[in-house]
Amino acid sequence: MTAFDLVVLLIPGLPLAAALATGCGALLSDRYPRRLIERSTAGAILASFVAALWVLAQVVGDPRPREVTVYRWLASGDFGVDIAFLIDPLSAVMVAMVTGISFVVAVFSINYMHNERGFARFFAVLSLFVFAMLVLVMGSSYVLLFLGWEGVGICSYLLIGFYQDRRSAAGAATQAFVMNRVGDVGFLVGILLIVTTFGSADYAVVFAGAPDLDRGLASAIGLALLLGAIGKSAQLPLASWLPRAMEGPTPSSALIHAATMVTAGVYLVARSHPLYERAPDALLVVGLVGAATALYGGVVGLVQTDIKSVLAFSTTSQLGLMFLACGLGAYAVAIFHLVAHAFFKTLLFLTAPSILHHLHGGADPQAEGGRWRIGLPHRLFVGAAVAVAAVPFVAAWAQAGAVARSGAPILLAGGGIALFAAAFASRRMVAVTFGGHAGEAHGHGTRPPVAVSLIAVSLIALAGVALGLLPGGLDGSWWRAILGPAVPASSELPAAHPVFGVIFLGALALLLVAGWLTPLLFDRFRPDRPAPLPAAGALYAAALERFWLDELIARFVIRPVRRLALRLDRLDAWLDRATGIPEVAPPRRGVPVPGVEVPALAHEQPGILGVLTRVGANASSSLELRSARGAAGAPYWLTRLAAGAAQWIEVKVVGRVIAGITRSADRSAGLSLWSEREIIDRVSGLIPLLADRLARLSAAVEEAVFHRGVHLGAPRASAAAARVLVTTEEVLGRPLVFAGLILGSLVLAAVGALVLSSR
Amino acid sequence: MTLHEIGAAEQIGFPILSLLILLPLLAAAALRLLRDERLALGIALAGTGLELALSILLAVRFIPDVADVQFVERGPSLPLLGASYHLGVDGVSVLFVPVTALLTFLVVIYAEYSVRARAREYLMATLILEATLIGAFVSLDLLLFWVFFVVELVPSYILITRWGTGPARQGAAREYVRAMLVGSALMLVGMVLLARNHADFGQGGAWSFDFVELLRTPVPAELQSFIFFLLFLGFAIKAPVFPFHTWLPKVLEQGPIVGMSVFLIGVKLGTYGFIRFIIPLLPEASLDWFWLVAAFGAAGIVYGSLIALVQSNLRRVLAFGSLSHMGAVIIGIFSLNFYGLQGGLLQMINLGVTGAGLFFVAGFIATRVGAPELPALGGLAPYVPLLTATFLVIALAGIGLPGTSGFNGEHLIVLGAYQAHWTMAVMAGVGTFLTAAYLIRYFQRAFLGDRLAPAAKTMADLRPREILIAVTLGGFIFWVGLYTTPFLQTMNGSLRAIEQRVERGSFGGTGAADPLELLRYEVRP
Repeated sequence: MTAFDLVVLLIPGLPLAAALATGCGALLSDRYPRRLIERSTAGAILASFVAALWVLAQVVGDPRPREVTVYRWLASGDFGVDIAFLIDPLSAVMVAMVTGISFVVAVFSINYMHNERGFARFFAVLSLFVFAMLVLVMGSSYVLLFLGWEGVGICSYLLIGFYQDRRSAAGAATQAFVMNRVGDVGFLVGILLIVTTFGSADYAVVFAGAPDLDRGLASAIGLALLLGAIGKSAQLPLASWLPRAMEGPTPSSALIHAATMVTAGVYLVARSHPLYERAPDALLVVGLVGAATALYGGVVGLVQTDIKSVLAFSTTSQLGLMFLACGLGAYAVAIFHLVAHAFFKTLLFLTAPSILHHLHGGADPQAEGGRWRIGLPHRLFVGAAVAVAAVPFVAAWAQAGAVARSGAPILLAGGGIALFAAAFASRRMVAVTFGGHAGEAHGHGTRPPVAVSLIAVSLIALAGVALGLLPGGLDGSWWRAILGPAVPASSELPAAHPVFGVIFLGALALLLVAGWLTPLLFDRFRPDRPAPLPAAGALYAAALERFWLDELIARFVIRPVRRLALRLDRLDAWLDRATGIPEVAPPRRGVPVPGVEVPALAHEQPGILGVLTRVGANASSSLELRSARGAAGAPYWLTRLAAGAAQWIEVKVVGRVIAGITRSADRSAGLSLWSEREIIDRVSGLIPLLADRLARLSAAVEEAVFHRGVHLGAPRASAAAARVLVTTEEVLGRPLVFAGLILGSLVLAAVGALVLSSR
Repeated sequence: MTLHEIGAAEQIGFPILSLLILLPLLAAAALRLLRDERLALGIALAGTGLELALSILLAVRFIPDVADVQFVERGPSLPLLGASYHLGVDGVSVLFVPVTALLTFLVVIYAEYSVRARAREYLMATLILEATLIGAFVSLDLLLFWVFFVVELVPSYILITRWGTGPARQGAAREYVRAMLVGSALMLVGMVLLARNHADFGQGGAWSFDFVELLRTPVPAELQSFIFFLLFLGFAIKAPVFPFHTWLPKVLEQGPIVGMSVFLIGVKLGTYGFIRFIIPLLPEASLDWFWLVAAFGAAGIVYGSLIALVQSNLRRVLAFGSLSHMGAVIIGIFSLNFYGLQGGLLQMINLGVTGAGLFFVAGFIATRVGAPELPALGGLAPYVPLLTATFLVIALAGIGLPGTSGFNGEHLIVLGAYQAHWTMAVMAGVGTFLTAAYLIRYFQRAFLGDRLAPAAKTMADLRPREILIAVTLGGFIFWVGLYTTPFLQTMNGSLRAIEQRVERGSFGGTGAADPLELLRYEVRP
């Protein structure tokens, strides 16, 4: 084992040792010294950071990939997996980023967490997280990547639920875990396809065979891996766990839910680029998902009033942009964006609490709003906010090279709007935090320990600025020089004309400026104000409700599953009764089943109905659209929103045109008063009338199809089916009939045997 | 297929398998004779400890990567039936012996806390249960296996009825015995048919229940399907497979606090039977009917895990979770390829430990607050961090997190199932997701949140013996999870033989146009 191997092993080994020592010490003794915990954790991570820098330097000197094998993990038939680490430019950059930020966060946490009960638990899980994240980025095969992937998942679960006595924290943790698990199914399927196709999950083998891969199969693998990435990186439709993950302590939010873990999805896509090269369809989906999420995160981030929520949605949006970059084939840009974003977002997260410390109380900046000068944190905060808004802009430089690509315009449009929203969100955050009234000024500066942490943080900021100022993803830049061999830009992309780049940059610049100018305008769209633009008001309200993502999942996934489970439980009770001695009386319909608790994975949010009613009341109150039962449903409400928009158009456009016509008619006196009232009023009333009819029609459809058919019909039908089943079970399942069941199987066997023998 | 045998005498010098069966019985006899309550625990500990050491010796001396049957002992045989005392282990069975011994050892360690009255008799029953289970796992004679399989009912019945915690334990025990008797009767018929078939087609023309002999004997296709269903039903009731599972939740809910941990490894005899007897002895029928069995497994996965999602009693969660996990194991085994078989077998070992482990945790809770019902729990984590950590680690192994013992087995099952048919892989994959949902949900309800259990603040964290149990189980979980190669190597040889057996069929690839006619002609000129 060479010195290089040893250093590589030390990088994940030290955090693991720290995690084990802290974990065991904390579990077995209440009085495990805090100083020891702090020092062992921060020291181990610092040492592995130094080792990572050394490895990075080695890799810059010689970018050939190197593999360090530890031992054979499992071997089944021809298929085997080693515990082995791959060091190439991509993983070296990621390792340096992860250990560096982890170190700063660990130092920061020493002060931040000093009053917490679970001090040791926090540090144990933090070290474990660093270890798992390092395994994730250093692993030499997909299976090892998955090991780290699940490891960071479980650490994230433990840290979101860190405040164990908070119900909402426990709920958020469970939601994050289960949603990630949905993505993991996709990841597992991807691994499965890879193993069955290539006979191995090692990157070396897979990427060597990738160029000859069947395109359909490549698309399948790409999409399966993408599902995993969507879960981990909180992309649509599995996006709603990330904002709720802010229930965890702020340092863990900074490290896990902003800088490192959530970027694992981007890493996965960038790492798998040889596979995606063969799967342009899958790559297009990557871009679409990224663009949609960037939009979603940006728009929802606009209306948040809680610093951590703004930060979370900003993260969602930025991650979406990284996926977008991957989707355009600009992997190096995505990784650049990833690293730069990690620095700036950590900075934002770590300065936010020190600001809040001084504002006293909760994390809702609008509630406090005191003007307050704190010097360094203030400047850092503003600087980081600017940087977060600007990073994608810088990254876009290189993206310009990939413009001329099918589907790119749509993706770019989405990305552009998201950029606008992200810029806006950053600005809003600053405004909301610092721009309040002067009345409740707090004069105190930072306390010394916070200041120490802040110096570390500002170092990050410097590094980040350095990264940001250098032209990141451009061809010929140092970044490309390092990362190039590992992650080349997609080779199948045609070279874009420079004009595209200029246009693209111009558009982005415009959008950015627009983003900084619009907050005032957007604030005017709040539903409680007289709406100049009803559709925008609806959008505002929808964003406020985070587009009902949780609600939709609860309604269309969790509730049916829950219903099915309860029904099966009843069926099982009947099976029990039918096959043996009844112990508990079978539950009647509608009565809660004893011994059965209803699971709720997502917390209840104000229903779609309530919010839409609110929106609708503002958006189209003049139209007085009412459905028979006020039932909420997508078709109905879409139409209603359309009606609102139509009304606006009617008032602003048609009305003015007509007024102009009228005026000119008056002036020329060519039209009588009668004709004006009879004809023009009718014409101008036609559009809302049409919209009204349309809304009524869709309400009727909604009532007939969705309400009666789905909401009432399906449960009734299944209840009837369950009753039939239960009756059948009762008859079938008596001990005597149980024997009959067995005999029947035997007869089936005999018949089967006869059929087979006659074949 | 021909299996070579390596005798115990040449391999280790003494009849280790007989000793493994006898030792617990001797300890039980000592308990019976000494009638001293104070010495009881010591004797039982010594007996199970020695047993554990011996079983580890067995696993260490086992030669990996070969298909041979090892540590073979042959005793006298019944003249007319052709049944004989024939013991031996191969890659399929060898790992069950130390796992059984380990769990019994842990149960005995915990007996001081879990049993209030008549501890001596409780220990006797546990020891006899251990002896019968190990006997069943090392039997190479079908009739001998059957005898152990049936005798196992006696200590189980006594354990459930006398030390069960639920009010309905009598009914649960009776239902268990009834179900097992039906199953074993069907199984016996199937085995007798196999023995008779040996008289028709086998060497020597006499009845034989000997597993190694029967492997050499071709079985006609129409008979195979019939025997397949007889044996399948018998083992399916034990496993349990989906529609035949109703006894399991009751037994687990009503049974003794931790004694059921050993019982749970006994339940693995069902799936063990599939891989040990059904597939090698009836390869053609297995190939004909694997889809049907996989469908049963898939139904069990969804059905079991969905019901587990709404249970409030940890033991019932475990029972239905076990049903769901067994579904995945069955899918793996009946993929009938190497990956699937290996995944299924590894997962059986893993579930034997993690299922029993969660049952231990349920016992830890039960000795503190009574039944592990959700209404009595909640917000425990800050008060009992060790218990919380133990539950979490074992639950994660059940979920199949990579790095724990659950992952590799599950991964291989999905891989094997995919090669058999993609729908089977989908069903096995769905299982992993639902398992996460119900175990994490239970964890959240019982250990996190602001709704404090009434007893939370006074609840004691793990005591030294419980820590020992937790550390042992955790160590096993991470050992299997992070260094799986030795476990897989142990199984490799035998499983490869089974895979080839399925490929070649029971006629051994004679190449004859109609092998059956050829054989009939040869045997009965």
